[in-house]
Amino acid sequence: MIELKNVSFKYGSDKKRDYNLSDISLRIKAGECVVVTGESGCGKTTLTRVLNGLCPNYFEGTISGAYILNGETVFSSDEGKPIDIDEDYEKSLDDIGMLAGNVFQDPRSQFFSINTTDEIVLAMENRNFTRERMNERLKEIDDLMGIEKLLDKNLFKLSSGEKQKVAIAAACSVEPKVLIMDEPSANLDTEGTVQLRELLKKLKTKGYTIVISEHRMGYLKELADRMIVMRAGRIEKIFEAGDYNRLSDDEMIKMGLRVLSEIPEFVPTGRKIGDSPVLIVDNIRFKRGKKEILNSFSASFYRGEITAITGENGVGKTTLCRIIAGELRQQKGSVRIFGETIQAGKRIRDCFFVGQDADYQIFTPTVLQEVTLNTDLDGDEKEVEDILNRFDLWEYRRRHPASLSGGQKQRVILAAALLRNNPILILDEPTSGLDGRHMRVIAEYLRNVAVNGTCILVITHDREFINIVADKVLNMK
Amino acid sequence: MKNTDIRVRMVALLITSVGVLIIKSEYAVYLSLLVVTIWTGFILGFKKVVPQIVLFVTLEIALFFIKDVRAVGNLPLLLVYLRRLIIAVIAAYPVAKAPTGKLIASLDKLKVPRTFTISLAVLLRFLPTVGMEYSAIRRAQRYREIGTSLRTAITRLPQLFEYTIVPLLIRTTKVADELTASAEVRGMKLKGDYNPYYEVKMRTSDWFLLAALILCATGICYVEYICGGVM
Repeated sequence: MIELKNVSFKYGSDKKRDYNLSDISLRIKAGECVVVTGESGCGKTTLTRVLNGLCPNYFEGTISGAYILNGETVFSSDEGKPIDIDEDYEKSLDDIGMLAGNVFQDPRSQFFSINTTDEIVLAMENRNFTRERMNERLKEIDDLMGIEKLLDKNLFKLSSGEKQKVAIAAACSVEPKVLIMDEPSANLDTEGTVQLRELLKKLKTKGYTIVISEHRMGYLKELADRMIVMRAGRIEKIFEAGDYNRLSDDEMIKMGLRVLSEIPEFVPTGRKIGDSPVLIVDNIRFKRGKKEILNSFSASFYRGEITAITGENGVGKTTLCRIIAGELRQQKGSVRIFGETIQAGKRIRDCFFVGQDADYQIFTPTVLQEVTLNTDLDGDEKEVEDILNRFDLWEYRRRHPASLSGGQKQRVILAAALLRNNPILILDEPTSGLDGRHMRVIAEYLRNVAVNGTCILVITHDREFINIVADKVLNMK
Repeated sequence: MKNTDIRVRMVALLITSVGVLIIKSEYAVYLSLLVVTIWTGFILGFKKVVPQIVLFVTLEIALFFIKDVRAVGNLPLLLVYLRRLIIAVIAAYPVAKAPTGKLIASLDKLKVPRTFTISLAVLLRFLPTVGMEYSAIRRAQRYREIGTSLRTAITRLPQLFEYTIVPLLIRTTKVADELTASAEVRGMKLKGDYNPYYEVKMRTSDWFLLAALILCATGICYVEYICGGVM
């Protein structure tokens, strides 16, 4: 179904720039499910973009090699010579789109419509399907994945699992032969991931060829026929189903990946500093409209302790943390910090909230300014240098934070949080979309912060991360 | 009423927008408010109109108190037009709240060029996104004491502007880029065939509603005439 022969690609036209993909050769048979993995920046996403034609048709660059999709040549060049996109690229994005449906990583930016039905039929409208055919396809997709209840709804009000279902339904609408997915589980809770696995099983039985770029692979274990490990733009290893299922945790960790084995039950560590809690949430009640989100909720948190807050999407994890940080006011109950009841408006002084997306939280032109922003410190002080060194950021101190990688940006925000010296640090899904190595690095940094006596609350679905970093789990129901 | 043809809703919006600009009589203004409230209320539910009505009444009360106060200068005049704008906003609701697909299908039926309809679809999709991105940025700023008090917000206004606009631009550019990629692989193009999923067809009830709208508009014109307005 898919054949890549010595494909190389780099973004832009700069001759000195390294290739993002080098010499990729790959054959994927019809009906196969293949998972592509590797550390962040290894070229997984670029590979999916070559397969769906966005590289080089939308994201411009230099491409060479040959790509055959469903027996038809998409492009072919002689002996590694870059192709002329206008002359030698034989298929349009539209043609490739009819054969290969796409599910992108970020639900905020892949949906073109606000209404679910609009979104699912969009590709069919653009391909001039008749109304009868569109209705037939909606019925067939409903039979396959049960989407009837989701039709004609506001997309932004759906749960992350439901959004993912709509994205897959939209990708399947024109009946493509191939489905290309970029980290489809990144924003899903445990329940959503189980549903995704079941849906992928059905799609595979229906004969779809599936290519998934992914970090968390546990859910794909019995589904994927092959696992391709990439590094620095090249295919490092290809494991067949029988082989990758036997890979031990140590072997996966060595490759910088997440483990494949079943994650064991969490065991509390009992690690904390002192016996009196720094933060007490006492009998809290919070209602939004008619919906009761928290009722008689109580919990205590200690210095030097890392608490993982888990539970299905929509259960109130973020609401709880926003109440603790004083962004929201509880309707009943109290929040005590160092034994003293603190009103919502004043709690923000003791808390720092690290959101999921680093781009929102970066404001200044240099890393040094960023970490010292609105503190009493300036860039020359020893404390700043120490912290930046601890977070491996000292060499980037004069760089614009927006030019750093995702993991580095996250560390800049963590360093800023540490320099503000707030006793309570809250993080929202810090490992979503992170590979094994970077997930472990974040865990290490957090442990470093906790040692200083900070009380850390982490909202997360990532069970592997919880087992490495957490001292206690607060499972909300 | 929920299935009222989008084109009829557009006609109502057009008549209201022109009407509020040219009528002079206060009676005609009140009558227009009544008609658009009933119109939008029936299509979307009366709850949706409540905030606008509250705003209208507040402006009305404010106007009553300040209309003869010299110190406020031209403020009463501004309020008069602001009040009329609310009427147009109420009439715009049934169009703005229609599913984008239906709206585009209707414009397509009216032979509006695809360049315009795609731009409109992107705009409608983008507005809530920009709002969400902005509030996420403002939330993050609170933890860094950026613009948290009125005093610092005013004294460091250029800085607050920079710290808001830079991340907002970075985020929206990224979203726009990914959104375009997602549309391109799904065959969205300016030229070529396109067949909307929604069938756009005037039903008997739509013709009745259109007739009722024209009748109401004529009635308001008559009130304007007998009250000595512009007509």
